[in-house]
Amino acid sequence: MKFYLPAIQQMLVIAICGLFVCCCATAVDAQDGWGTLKGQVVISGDAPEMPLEKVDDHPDKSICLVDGELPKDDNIVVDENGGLRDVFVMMYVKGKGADAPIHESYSKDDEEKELSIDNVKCRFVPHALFVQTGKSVLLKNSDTVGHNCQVTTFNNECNVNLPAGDSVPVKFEKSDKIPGIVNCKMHEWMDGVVLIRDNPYVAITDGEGKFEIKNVPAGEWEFQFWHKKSGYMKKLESGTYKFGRKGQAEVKISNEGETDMGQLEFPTKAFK
Amino acid sequence: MQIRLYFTAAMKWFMLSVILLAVGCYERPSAERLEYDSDAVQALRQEIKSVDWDE
Amino acid sequence: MIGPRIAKGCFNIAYLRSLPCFGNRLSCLPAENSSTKHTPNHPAKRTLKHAIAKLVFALTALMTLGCGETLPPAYKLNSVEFLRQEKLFLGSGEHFDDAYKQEIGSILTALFGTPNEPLVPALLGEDDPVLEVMRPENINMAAGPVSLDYHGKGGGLYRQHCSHCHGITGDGNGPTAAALNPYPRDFRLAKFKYKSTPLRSVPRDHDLTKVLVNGVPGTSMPSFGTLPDGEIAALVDYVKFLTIRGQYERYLMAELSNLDDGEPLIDLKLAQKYHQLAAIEQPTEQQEEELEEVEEQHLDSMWGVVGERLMEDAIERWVDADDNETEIPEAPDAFDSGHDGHRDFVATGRELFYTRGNCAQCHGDTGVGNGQIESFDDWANDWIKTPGVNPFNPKTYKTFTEAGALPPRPIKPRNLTEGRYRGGGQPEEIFLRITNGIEGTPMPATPALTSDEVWALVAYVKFLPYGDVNELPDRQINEKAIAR
Repeated sequence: MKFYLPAIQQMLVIAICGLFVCCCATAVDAQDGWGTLKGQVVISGDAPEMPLEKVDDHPDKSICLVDGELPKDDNIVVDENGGLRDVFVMMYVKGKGADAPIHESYSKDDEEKELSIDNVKCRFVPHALFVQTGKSVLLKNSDTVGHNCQVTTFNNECNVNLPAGDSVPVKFEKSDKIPGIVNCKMHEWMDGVVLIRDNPYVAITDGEGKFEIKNVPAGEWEFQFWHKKSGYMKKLESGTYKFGRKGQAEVKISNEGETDMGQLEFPTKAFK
Repeated sequence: MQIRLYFTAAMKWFMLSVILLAVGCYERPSAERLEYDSDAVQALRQEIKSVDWDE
Repeated sequence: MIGPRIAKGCFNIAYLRSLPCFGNRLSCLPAENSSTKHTPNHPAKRTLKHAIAKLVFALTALMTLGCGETLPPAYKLNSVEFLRQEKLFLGSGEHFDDAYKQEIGSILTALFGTPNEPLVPALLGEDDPVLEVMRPENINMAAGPVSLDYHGKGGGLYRQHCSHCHGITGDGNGPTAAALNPYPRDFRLAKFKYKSTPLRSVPRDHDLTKVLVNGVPGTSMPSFGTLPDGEIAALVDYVKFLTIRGQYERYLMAELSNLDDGEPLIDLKLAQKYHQLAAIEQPTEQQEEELEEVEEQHLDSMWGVVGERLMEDAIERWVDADDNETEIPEAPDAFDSGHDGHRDFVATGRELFYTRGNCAQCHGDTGVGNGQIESFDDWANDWIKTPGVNPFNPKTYKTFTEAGALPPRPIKPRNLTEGRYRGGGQPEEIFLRITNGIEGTPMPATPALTSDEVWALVAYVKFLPYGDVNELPDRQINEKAIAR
C-alpha cells in the first residue's frame, strides 16, 4: 500500500522531524556541560618601542593630544609585567569548531553590554572589539571634532560620518575569519581592530594580557591566537600547549569550572 | 686620447633600432597568466554538473 | 591598429608604419646631407653602408615582431591577492604551493571559461537567475576577439573599447593603466563608486549604463554614448561578469589559508572515489558506510568552494540589484534658486559643511579639496594595509608592484569649486554621493543627517563654483569661507 502526502505536508513533516533532531542534539550537548577558558598572553624579550602617532601638524592636533602629549602608536600595548593587550583568542571554526553548540547566553541581546566603538581624543575606544554577526554596534564620537568610522574586513564594510558628539548604530551580517581594521579617514593615524564572526567563542586580552571565555561547551576544541602585528601567533610558547601554523592549540575544556591555559609567552621578535 | 663617435647613417639607424627595441619590448611587471589544466577543467565541469545545486 | 596585444606590451609594427618618417620609404633625414657633412665618402662605400644600415634595421624590426606572443589571450591571475594572502597568513619567506595557482586557474576556467570562450556559471540550469544578471548572448558579444559580421554587428566589444585600460581580466591594469590618473577601475573588488545603491550593495544596471554613456568627467573614462544601446548593455553585462569572476577568485584565494599542506580546494580524487563507490550495484555494509562518508565530504567541499562562495556570496547580490535603490526624497521648496528662502537654505548648507557634515575636514575650508589628503582609496588600501608595507616607501612594497600592483597614489578630495562632478552634476546625483558616501573612497555615508540637511548641503555644493559667499547671510558662521 502506498500513500502520498501533498508537498506542503511533506515539508511540514520534514521540518518537524528536523526540529526534533535539532532539539535532541542541543539537549545532548547541553548535558556535557559548559566550562570557562582563561589564560594570559605575555611577551618574552624587550617590549617594542612604539613610535609616536603621525599627527604632524594636523589642524585637529590640539584635540588629539593625550595629557598634552602626542599619543604613541597603540597597536602593541604591553604592561609592566609583559602582559600583551589586544590578542584575539578565537575558537578555530574549521572542522569540529564549525558545529560547536552555542550557549544560550550568547544568543540573547544583552542591553547592559551594548557594544560600541567610541572616538576619544582621536583614538578608537576600545582599540580592539569583537562583534557577533547580527548584533548592533554603536559608533560614537565623544570628541569635539568630526570623525568618520570606516570598518573594513574581508567580508564586511561600513563607512559613516560621525559629527562631533553624535552616534550611529550599525550591524554586520557576514562572518569573517580574521579581524579587520577600523579607520578614520580624517585622522589617518587612527586605527582599530574589529572581528566580526558568528561563532561567539572569542576573547580579547585585557591590559594585563588576560583573557576569559565563558560558557564554552565542554570537550576538546582548538583555539587560535591572533594579533594585528603578528598575524596568527604560531610562535607562542607554553609548557603544555603546542601551537600550529594558524596559531591554534588544542584545549580540553573541563566540564566544571575553569580551564586555565596559564601564561603563554610570545617572543617580541615575531612581531612583523 | 679622444674617442670620436661619428654619427653616420649606420649609427643613426642602429641607435634608432636600439631605442625602439627598448621602448617596444619594455614590459611592465604584471600579474601572471592564469594557467590551467584542461583535464582538471573537464573533470571539474563534470563534478559541478553532477551536484544538485537546487537544494 | 586593433591588435590588443595584452599578454606582452610589445611594439606594434602597424604603429611603426603610422609614424610619418617610417611610412615614407623608411628614411627620416636627408641622408645625403648628413653624410656629406661628416664623412665625405666614396659613393659606392656609401651605398654599402646604407645597405648595412637597412639590414640592421630590418633585423631589429623582425626581432621586435618576434617578441609578440602567439599564445591565445588569457585571463590573468590575481597575483597581488595571492601574495597578500601569503603575507597575511604565512611566515616571512613562506609561500603557498604553486599548484594552487593552477588549481585556481582550473576552477575559474571550468566555471567562467576563457576570454575567447567565456561561460556564464549557471549552476541551476536554465532557470538560474544568473542568466538575467549576465545574459550569455551579451557576454558572447562583449568578449572574444574584435570582429564585425556582414550585418554590421560587432563582436569583441570589451577588447575594442575597454581592455587597453581596464585589462582583459578587468583588473584595471591594461597596457595604458600606469600612465593614467586616476588609475582605471579594477572590477575584481566588486566596488563601484557612482551608483544609486548604498555601500556594499552592487550597482544597478542603470548606474553602470550611465557611467558608460556619460563617461566619468575629470578622469580618462570617456563617454561611449555613440554605441548602440545593445552594445552598451552587452558591455554592462560583461563588466558584471568580470566583477563576479574577480570577486570569486579573491574568495578562492582567501580559502587557501584554511587548507592543510597540499590539501586541494576541490579534491578530484575524492570525487572519483565517490563515483566509484556510488557505481557499485550491490554494496556491502562497509561500502555503504564508506559511500555515505565520502559523499558527505565531497558535497561539503563542493558546496563550500562553489555553492557558497560563488552562488551565495559572489552572484546572489547581483540578483534583484534594483531592490536596493536608495530613495531620493523630494527637495524642499527652498532648494529652488528662485525661492525666497534659497539664500538661507544655502547658508544652512554652508554651516553644515563646516559642522555636522564634516565636509571641510577633507574638502578644505574653501572647498578646493585641500584638507586631509593623505588617504588612499580601497583599491590601494586592499594591499597597502598588509603588515610591513608603507605606501610612502616603494622599497617596502616592491614585491607587490612586481606582482602587478600599480604604485599607490593618495586619493584627492574633490575640488568642489570646479563644478565638475565625476558621478554627474544633477542635484539627485550629488544627493546620493552625500547620503551613501562613495564606495571605495574615504567619503563616508551620512546617516546622522536628515534628508533636508543633505539637500542643504547639495544646495551649497551647487552654489560653490559660481556663487559669491559674501552674498550669503550670517557671515560670521565661518570666516574661512570668505577668505576664498
